[in-house]
Amino acid sequence: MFILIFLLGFSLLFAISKDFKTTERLALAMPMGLGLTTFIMFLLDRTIHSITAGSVMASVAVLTLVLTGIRLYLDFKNQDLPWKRPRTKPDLSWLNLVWIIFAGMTAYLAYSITVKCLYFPPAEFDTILGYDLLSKAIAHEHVIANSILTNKDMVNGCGPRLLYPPLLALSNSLCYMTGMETPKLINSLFFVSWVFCAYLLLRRFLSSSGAIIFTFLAVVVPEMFAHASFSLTNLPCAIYTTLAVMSFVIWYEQKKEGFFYLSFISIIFGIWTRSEAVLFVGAILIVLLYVAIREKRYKYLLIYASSVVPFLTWNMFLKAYVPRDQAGFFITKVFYDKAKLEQVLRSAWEIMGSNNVYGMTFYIVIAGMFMILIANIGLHFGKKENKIMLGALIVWLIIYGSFGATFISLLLFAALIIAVTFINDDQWEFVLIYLLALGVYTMMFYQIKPDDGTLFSPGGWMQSGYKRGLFCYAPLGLFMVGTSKWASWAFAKMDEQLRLFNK
Amino acid sequence: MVNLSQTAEVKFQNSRISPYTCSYMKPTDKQKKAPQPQPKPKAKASTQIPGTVPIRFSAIIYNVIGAVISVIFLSSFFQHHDQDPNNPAETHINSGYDWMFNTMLKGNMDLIDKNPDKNLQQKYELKWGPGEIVYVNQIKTIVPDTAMVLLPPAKLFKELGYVMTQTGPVVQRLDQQGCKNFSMSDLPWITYFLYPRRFVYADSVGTDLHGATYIVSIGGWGVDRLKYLVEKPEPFMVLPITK
Repeated sequence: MFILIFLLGFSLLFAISKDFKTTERLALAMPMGLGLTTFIMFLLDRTIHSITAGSVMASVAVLTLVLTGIRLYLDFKNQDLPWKRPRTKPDLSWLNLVWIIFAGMTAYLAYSITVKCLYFPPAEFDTILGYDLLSKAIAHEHVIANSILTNKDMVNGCGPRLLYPPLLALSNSLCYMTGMETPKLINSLFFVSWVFCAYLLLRRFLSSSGAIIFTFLAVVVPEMFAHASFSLTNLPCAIYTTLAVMSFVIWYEQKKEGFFYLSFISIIFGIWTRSEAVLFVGAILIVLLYVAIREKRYKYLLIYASSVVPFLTWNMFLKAYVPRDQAGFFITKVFYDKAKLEQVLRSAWEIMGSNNVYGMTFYIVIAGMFMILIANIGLHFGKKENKIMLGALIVWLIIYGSFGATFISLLLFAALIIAVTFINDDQWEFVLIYLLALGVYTMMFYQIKPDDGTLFSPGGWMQSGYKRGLFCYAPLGLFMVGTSKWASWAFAKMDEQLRLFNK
Repeated sequence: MVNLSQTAEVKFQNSRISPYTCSYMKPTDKQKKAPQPQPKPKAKASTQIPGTVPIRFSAIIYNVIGAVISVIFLSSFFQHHDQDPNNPAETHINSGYDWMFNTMLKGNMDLIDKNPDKNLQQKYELKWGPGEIVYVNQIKTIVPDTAMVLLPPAKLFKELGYVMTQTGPVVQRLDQQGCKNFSMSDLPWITYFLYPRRFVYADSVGTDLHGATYIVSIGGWGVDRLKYLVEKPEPFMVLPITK
């Protein structure tokens, strides 16, 4: 079953574009295959009302053959069949001792956490009272609207965690359908793929040493690393959204068409895991709107906007089948509560800045953002706009010094760094997507009703939900800093000196 | 979705992108500035035939220096700090990485090495201790997959709990020290471990059995609902309603 799913993902990437390298296809095949398989399962549920191992395997096999057939037909038409292409010579110019040490450490960490993950059964509260309970019912009853999801007591007892989009629940159910005792294989497949994907996507911008160092830093984020052995939705969602944003930046910066579609598919799978991934769609759509206005081409904007369809589909499905007490936890009107806003920002930084939770991750991100600001302004100081930006930076420092990290000062900092990266053509779209999504995500918690006292309490919305939701932002922040113009230049210089083998 | 515009490719070099990545770029939607010229490779290397170039001595030195710096960096990154008993709240800059590597990962790997052949039930006991999961397994062993089980009412779960001992859990009053709440008072929790068996709480069905064929008796509750006499009553029992 899982080999077929891997082949499905591989053939999907093969069909989308020839822009991907074989190594990228291999790394991305599993997350893509799993995501697409869950859509097939949803379709089977809606059409023949029977999600069985047999029906899933047959559908996956057929789709794999169709996608491979399409690609081969197109290649045949273009007289560019894969086996007729010239072979590239093996290249070891990327290999050096620094790479070996960091890759070895990353591999050891990934191996150890995978052993832990596969050994222990699911024991997390959210998976027991949520996704994995639903997985068991899907595997046993062969439908999504089963005795768990249609039981009001069960739905109210589980809370919102049972109602998350079904990617993880459906993926987990594949394990039960194939006779496994636990679904932990899914988490391991996600995490191991993630390590390779992160490295290979970083390689699109960075030299080998830079890419492996930032892969290592992304892997060792303490809270995320611990979650690599948990059966929760946060890590898969973070993986898909990171893939989506990184692919989007590759498309924007290097104009490789295939990466646009990879980004589009990844964000769909992200939304199909957790609805909050939709925040990234909003931020990416703003960049695409800019592209559309500048180029008078609306194709990409319209395609990307359609990625919210799964979000709407799942919500319609819930509305149609799931009995639940309607108790929204968001305040739906705009309001200003200074004390609450300050508390949300303070709690957010306590989590981001906690050495125990995110280690040095967000300190590196902040230091990196200052490096981006200073390097861009300083090294292109001849530009008139940069002189204005220096003035703006000084004004911002005065505001920050006077008022501290307030909503306004943070907003001004975001505007300043976006402006500087835009003026100096240093991946402004990455900075905008990152800061906009992070800002809106944080403000979502400001909109949560504080009535029951769980917004700031230990284990409550901020301390648990916000903390895990930052999984999307920790690796992306590192990658944003690592792939910036000046960091990638510095790593390229470093690797020039370290190069042992020529091409 | 299929990209066919391969023929329209324009080749140019981009100094920002590593040589490994892409020297072939497509027509851009956005007009990029003219790329800076790629730094010329050193004359020594460029004149050599690929594969025959000897490793530069300077590169070996830089690699050794880089390796030493990397090892020092990783050692300090994961350096273990023992907790100061006088200041347990003290944290170090690497405390998250220290916990992750030296406590969580090493502790779990040791545990796994010492217990390689545990089954699912034993692994839960290893993780949570011999507590309620032992009772859950008792229900799993006795009750068939298709059966419905009658559980005590919510009121009883507010009075009784259990304590973990070496030999397994023991039912106690909740006001006793170290006594834990039963998680089986939560319908999704018990359903997760025992699905597809179904559960119903006594207070939601009144005196009706609601199709239940088994009963979970805690602290003597529910014995009166059985259609036979229990010879050796236990604090925790899983019993068929009729024999």
